[in-house]
Amino acid sequence: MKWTLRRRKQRNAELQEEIQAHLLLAEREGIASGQTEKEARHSARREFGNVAVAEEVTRDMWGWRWAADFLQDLRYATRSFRQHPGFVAIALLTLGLGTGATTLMFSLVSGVLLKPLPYPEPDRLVAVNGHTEGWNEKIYGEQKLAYLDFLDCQRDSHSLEMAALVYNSGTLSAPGDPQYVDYFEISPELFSVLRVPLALGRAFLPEEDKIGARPVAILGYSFWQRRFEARNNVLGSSLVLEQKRYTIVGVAPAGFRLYGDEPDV
Amino acid sequence: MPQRKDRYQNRTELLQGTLDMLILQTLQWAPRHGYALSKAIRTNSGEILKVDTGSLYPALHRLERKGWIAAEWKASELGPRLRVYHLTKAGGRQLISERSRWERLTAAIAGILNPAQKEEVP
Repeated sequence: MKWTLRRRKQRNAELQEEIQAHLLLAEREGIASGQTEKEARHSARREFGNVAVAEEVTRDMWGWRWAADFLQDLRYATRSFRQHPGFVAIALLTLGLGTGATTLMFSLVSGVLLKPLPYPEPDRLVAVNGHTEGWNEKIYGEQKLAYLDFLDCQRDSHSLEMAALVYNSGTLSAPGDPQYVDYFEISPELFSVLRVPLALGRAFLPEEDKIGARPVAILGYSFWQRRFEARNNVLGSSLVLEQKRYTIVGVAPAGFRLYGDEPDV
Repeated sequence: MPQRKDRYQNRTELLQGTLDMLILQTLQWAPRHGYALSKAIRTNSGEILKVDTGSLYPALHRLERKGWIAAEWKASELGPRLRVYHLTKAGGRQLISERSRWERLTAAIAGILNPAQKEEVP
């Protein structure tokens, strides 16, 4: 602040010098055109107008007025605080409690509602969607990529490890009573791309992705607990989903979510 | 005597916002100090435009702050040193944009003042 004030003083002196030079030049010209020295000085002054006002307005242009005003306000504030210490204490308390409560609310909301992706290294994951002209995303949602297109992308991509998933739902008819379930069809890489280890068993193998391969399934953790009583010997047993028999090869970890929900299969 | 009075009245007040453009335009050819600048504007306008010095220096300092002109102190043979302003690159660009704005404005006003002319053109 001291530097600013000194600089301001210097600029003030320079402004005065600038305006004095202007008056002097006007005066000289008046004399050259035949006026007496006195006449010339007066007409130069008259021409210029109010020097003090011109200086004042010019100083405003430097943009330092706010600094001077702010300093004045600050001094005033300090003085009045000293006169009303009780008021200051209550104001500080109110502000402190208010800020504290807001911070607490935000931590709760951010923890519960704005949770980051529930996978390790969420900042290194991207979602890929299709886009075709004429497709209205507002009505139909994000467009999916055909699996063959996905395979092409996966083959040609060097910087991304890719995995595919698509949501589906259907009837699980065995073992036990039939039940309507949510499930995802996933490509073998999904668990390794998400860096999520399975709770039990293994992920799909690449050869199980081939046409005509033996159908295999991975159970969701909660579904495994509910429907299979968390038995370890589910691996190798089979289930029937949409009239197709699958061999269970693994169980996803607890709390594993895809698109926000925990799939059953 | 009435002539002189007319003349005085004809020294029109500068239209709001045109002073900046006139300053930039006048500095385009050569650096000048404040007094030379006000004289140049008056002379080049055929003695019709008189720059009010009370607004000249605020305008100069404002333009300097915006970076459109820059100033330096120069010694003069007259005695006092003079603050000489010159146009910066940004100022040149600003001048171009203000000139085109001004030309659009005058064309629009001319269109209103002479509507008949326009209608004659098919």
